[in-house]
Amino acid sequence: MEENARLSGISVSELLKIDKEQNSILDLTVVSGQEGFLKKILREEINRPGLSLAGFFDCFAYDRIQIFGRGEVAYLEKLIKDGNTANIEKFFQYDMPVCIATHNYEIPKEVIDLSNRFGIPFLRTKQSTKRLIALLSTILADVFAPFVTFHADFVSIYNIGVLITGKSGIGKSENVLGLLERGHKFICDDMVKVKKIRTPGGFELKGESSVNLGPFIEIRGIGIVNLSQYFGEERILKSERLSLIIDLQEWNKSYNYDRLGLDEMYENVLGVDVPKREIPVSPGRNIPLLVEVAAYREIMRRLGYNAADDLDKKIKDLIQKKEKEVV
Amino acid sequence: MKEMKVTVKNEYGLHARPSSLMANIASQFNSEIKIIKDENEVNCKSIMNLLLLAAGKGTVLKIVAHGEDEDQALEAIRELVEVRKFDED
Repeated sequence: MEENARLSGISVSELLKIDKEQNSILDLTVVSGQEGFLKKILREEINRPGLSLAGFFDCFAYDRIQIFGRGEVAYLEKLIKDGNTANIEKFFQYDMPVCIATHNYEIPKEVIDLSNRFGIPFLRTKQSTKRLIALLSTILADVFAPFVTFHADFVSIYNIGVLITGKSGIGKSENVLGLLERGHKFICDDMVKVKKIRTPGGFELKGESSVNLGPFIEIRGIGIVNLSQYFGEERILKSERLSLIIDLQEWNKSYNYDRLGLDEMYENVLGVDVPKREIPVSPGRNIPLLVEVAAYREIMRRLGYNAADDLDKKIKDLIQKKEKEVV
Repeated sequence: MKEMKVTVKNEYGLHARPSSLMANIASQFNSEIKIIKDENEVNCKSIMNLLLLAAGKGTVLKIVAHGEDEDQALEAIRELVEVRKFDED
């Protein structure tokens, strides 16, 4: 784990970029105020500016994204029709990051002029207000999630996100090749960003590439390999939930490795306990196979099965039976 | 080659956890260590071997060690079985 950070914010143009990367799910188009595209969105929350437009500016959460729904747009139109634009002008003097109108409502020319004059970007979407807010919350929760960066590899084995850590040169990347050959999926190599995401049931960890340059991996002696060309695009994933950490270690004769698996080990990542196994590496051990079996064991553990427990019960039964025979 | 007899004293005998402790301790020595119970002879460094003995409380095990550190090995295993009682009970 190398750092523990939280993005301080994203600019409006970054928000548009994220939207584009996600197949324009927010469907944002630019109306005006391009000059303010580098303005930072610093808060996860959104604001409906009805009260401010009506002239009540106390506690105005101007530093949030401002959403204009049916009511706000209708009110803007009414104010303009009545020639009462003082509040609108005052509104635009606040340093807001961005305004977004829903339902593709037409933005009055007067408002566009103000947005351009003060450099406040105005965007528009055909989504409904409810849907826009839901989508924006999800996207912003992801953007503002606290994260840590690992020097590790991240793969998906039977849909279990497995983070493979270990010293440089221990064979993490080679191990990833072996796992892909066994049919598993690649997420990223070398730098893994693990984010803590709030879910209805608590928190979960999501791992993804810290800089998304594509499915490249460095293999000593070969160089850079493009994994999607070699294994196929369907074997590359963008992100996965982190469920298991495998720490590859140099074999240390005096260290007592877990030989039974009766006890679980965990590593705390951003306050979430992640199951962890330590696997000693030595010549002749098929590490990709071992990692795959560890992932399979994790699946079974979640289903409530532990092979060591099972065997232990059988041995205890056997011992008892023998004792009865003696008596 | 040295040998020694020990008696299993913990309630549940040589089940998974005790076997793992015993194999780990035996693995720290270079000597070859065997356990003999009745007609069975097993390798003391292998958990699965030890489990197959299914040795319950009161069982007498013969430990045979062969190598440069055989004395220390026997003593360490005796201590685990009879004194520490596998850290159980």
